[in-house]
Amino acid sequence: MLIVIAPGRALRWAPRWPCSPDAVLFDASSGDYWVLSSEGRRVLEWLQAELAVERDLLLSRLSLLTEAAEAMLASLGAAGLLVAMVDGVVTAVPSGVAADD
Amino acid sequence: MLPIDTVLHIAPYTVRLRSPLVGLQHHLDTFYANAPRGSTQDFIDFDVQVLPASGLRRWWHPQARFVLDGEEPFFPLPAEQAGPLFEWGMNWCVAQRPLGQLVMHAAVVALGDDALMAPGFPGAGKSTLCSALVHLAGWRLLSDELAILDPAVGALLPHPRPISLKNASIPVVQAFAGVRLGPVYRDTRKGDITHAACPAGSLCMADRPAKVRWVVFPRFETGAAPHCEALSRAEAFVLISEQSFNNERMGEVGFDALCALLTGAECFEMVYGSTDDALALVRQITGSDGKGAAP
Amino acid sequence: MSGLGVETDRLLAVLRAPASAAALDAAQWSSLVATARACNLIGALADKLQRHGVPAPAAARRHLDGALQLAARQRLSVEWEAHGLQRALGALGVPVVLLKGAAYVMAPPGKHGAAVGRGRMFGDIDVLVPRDALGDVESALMLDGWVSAKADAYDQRYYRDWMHEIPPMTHIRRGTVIDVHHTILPLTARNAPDPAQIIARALPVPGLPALRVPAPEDLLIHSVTHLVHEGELHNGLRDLHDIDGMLHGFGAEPAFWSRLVANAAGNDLAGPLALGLRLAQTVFDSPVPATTLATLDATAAPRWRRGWLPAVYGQALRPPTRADAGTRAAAARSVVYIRSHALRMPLPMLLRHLSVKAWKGLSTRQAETAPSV
Repeated sequence: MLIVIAPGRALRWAPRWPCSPDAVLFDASSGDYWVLSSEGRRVLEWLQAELAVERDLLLSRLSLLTEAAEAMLASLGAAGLLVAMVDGVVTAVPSGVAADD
Repeated sequence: MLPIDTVLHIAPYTVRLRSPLVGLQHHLDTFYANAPRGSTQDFIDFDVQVLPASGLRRWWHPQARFVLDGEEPFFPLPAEQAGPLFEWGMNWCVAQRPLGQLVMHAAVVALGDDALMAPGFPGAGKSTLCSALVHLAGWRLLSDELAILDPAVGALLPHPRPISLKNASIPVVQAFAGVRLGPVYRDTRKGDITHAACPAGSLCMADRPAKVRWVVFPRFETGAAPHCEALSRAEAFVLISEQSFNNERMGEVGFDALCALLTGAECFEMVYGSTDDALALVRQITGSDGKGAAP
Repeated sequence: MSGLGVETDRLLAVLRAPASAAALDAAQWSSLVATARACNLIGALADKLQRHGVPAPAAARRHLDGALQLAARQRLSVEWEAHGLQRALGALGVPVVLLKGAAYVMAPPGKHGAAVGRGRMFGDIDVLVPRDALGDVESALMLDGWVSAKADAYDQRYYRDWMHEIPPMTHIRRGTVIDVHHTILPLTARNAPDPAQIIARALPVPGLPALRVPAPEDLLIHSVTHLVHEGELHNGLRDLHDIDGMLHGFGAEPAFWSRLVANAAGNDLAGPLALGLRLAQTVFDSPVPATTLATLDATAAPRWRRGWLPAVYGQALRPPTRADAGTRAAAARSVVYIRSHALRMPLPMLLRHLSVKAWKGLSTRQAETAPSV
C-alpha cells in the first residue's frame, strides 16, 4: 500500500517561524490550510520529495509508537492531505492495522 | 434640502454617494465634513446609493436600502438608520470587492508607522479597545473593522471612518476625553449603536501605510485579572483565517502576504476587565509609554 | 454599434479593439469597469487589456488586477472540484461529462483552443451523466458530503419532474454547488440535444479517468441552446462572449463547421443555433462562415426565423443594473423569460409555475435579516 499526497493539491509551507514547533500548510488549489505537528511536517515533506512511500516504511520511520503513527497517518488522510493507493486504485488511508498487501 | 450627490475620498478608495435621505445628510455632516471631496470625473471605486424603499415602505415605516453598483447586498433598514446602514454597507463593499488586497476583520491602530492589529469578531471588545487607544493613548486610527493589507508594500492601508460602538461600549467610550459621538440609534438589530468620529490627526495620516508589529487578540471579561500571553504565529494564522476567510477563500498571494505580515509581528492574546488594564497591557506589549499627544 | 446601450457598446468596442481604451479618461474608465462588472465580463476585459499591453490608470488597474486574481483563484477551485468529482464518482465506472465553465477549465490543452474562458469567473459546477446512472451518482455525491440545496417540496418536484436535473447539491464543507444533469434541456422542451450522443463523443480529461469534456461542437451547441432557451439572461452577454471565444478557438479547424451543422441538424437544433451564431456576430463580430448559416437556415423550423427574435434577445442582453419596469430592456427580458419557459413547458403548467414563483419571491423579500457587519 502506497501513501501519496491527495492528487490535485498544490501545497505551500508557511515560513519556519521560530519558537513554534507547529507548521502551517496551505493548499493553493482550494484555499484549505492545516496546522501540523513536527512529525506531520516530516511526513508531508517526505512525500513531497518521494511522491509515493510504502505505508509500512513510512510508519517505521516515524518516531511514534505504531498505533500513534497509524492514527496520525489516518488523520492526515481524513484531513484531505493524504490518500492510499493499492494496485493503482485510490482509497482512504486506513486507520488500524492494514490487511496484508 | 437637496439630495446628496457627492464623491468622497475615503482612503484608499473613492466613493460616489447619492441619496435623498435627510438622516444620511446628518451622518455625512457629522462624520465626513472633512473628508476630501472628488468629482464624477474621478475614477469611482464604489458607486453607492442609499435609497428609500419602493412601494408601501416608502412612506409607511419608511425604509432605506443600500445599493452598490445597482446591486442590493442586504435587506432594508428603517430609514432613520441610514447612517449605520451606510457604515455597514461600506464595510461590506471593502470586504467583498476584489482589489488585490487582503482584507481581514480587525481593528488597526498605529504609533507612527508601527501598527497594532486586533483581530476579532464584531463585538469582541475590539471597538472599545480601539477607541481607547485612539482617544486616550495617542494611537492613530487606521480602521475599527477592516485591516487592508496591500501585498505590494506589505503594510496596512489606513481606511479612516467612524468607529462603530454597540451597547455596553457606548457609555464607556462616551466618557473618554476628546471623543465626539454621533447620535445613538436605539433598538437596531444589533442593539444600541453609535459612532465615534475619526480624529482629525488620523485623517491627516490617511495616506501613510503602517507595517504590523503587534497582533493582539483582545478578550474582555468583566472582573478578569489582566494578563497577556504570547501566541505562536501558527495560532495567529489560524485565528485570523477563521475570522476573515469564511466566504471568500484565500489565494496564494493572500497567503504569502499574511505569512509575511506574521513574520514581522509578535502575537499575543490579551485578557482584561477594564479600559485602564487594557491600556496598561498594550503599553507592556508595545513598550510604549502611551503618553503621546492626542491626535 | 449593437444598440445595447452606450456603456455596453463601449465595453464591446474595447473588447473588439482593446487599444482604443488608452484614449479613455478617468470617468470613462470608471464606467467601463462598472459595466464590465455588471455584465460579468470584468475578468475578460482585464485579460484582453493585459494581453494587448493596454495601459490603464492605477485606480482602474486595482479593479482589473483584482478581477484577474479572483478568476485565477476560481479556476484553481474548479480544478480542485474536478479532482473531488473523480474521488467521489471514480468507483462508479460512469462517464461524468463536465459542462460549461468546468469544461473550459479542464479541457485537454491545445485541443479546445485557449481562447475560451480567459479571465472568466466560475460558480456552480455542471455535469452530465447517463440517465440511468443518476441515482447512483446522487448517492455517491451524498456520501462525499453533498446535500440537496432545495428543501422545498414544490421545487423538488419542479426539478425532478419538469426540469432536466436533480435539484442542485451543495457541498457541506466547501459550499460549492453542483448541478447534475441527465439531459441538456427539460424533458418537455421541443428542441433537445441528445445527451447519449454528447456523452459518446466526449473527450477524456488527462489524469481524471471518470471525467470527460464535450467535443467542441457539442460544447458550442450546448452553450447556444442554453442561451436562447434560458429564462433569465443575467449572464447573457457573458455566455455570448464564451460563444465568441469558442468560435475563434474551434473555428480555425475547417472540419469543425461541418460537424457542427451535422450535429445540429440531427437534433433539430438548427434554428436555435443559427439564432445564437447571429447574435454572436452582431454583438462580438464573431467569425461564422456564411455557408454555415445558410445551411442551418435551410433546416430550421419557421418559428426560429421570426425577424424580431434577434432584436428582442439583443435588448435582453443589456446588463440589468438599473432595473426599471418602463425600459425596453426590462420588457424584452420579460418576453425572453416567458418565451423561454414556453419552450420548456405547456402553457397551463407555465402559468401555474410563474405564479407560484412570484408568490414565493414576494414572501422571501419580506423576510428581514440584518446586514452582516
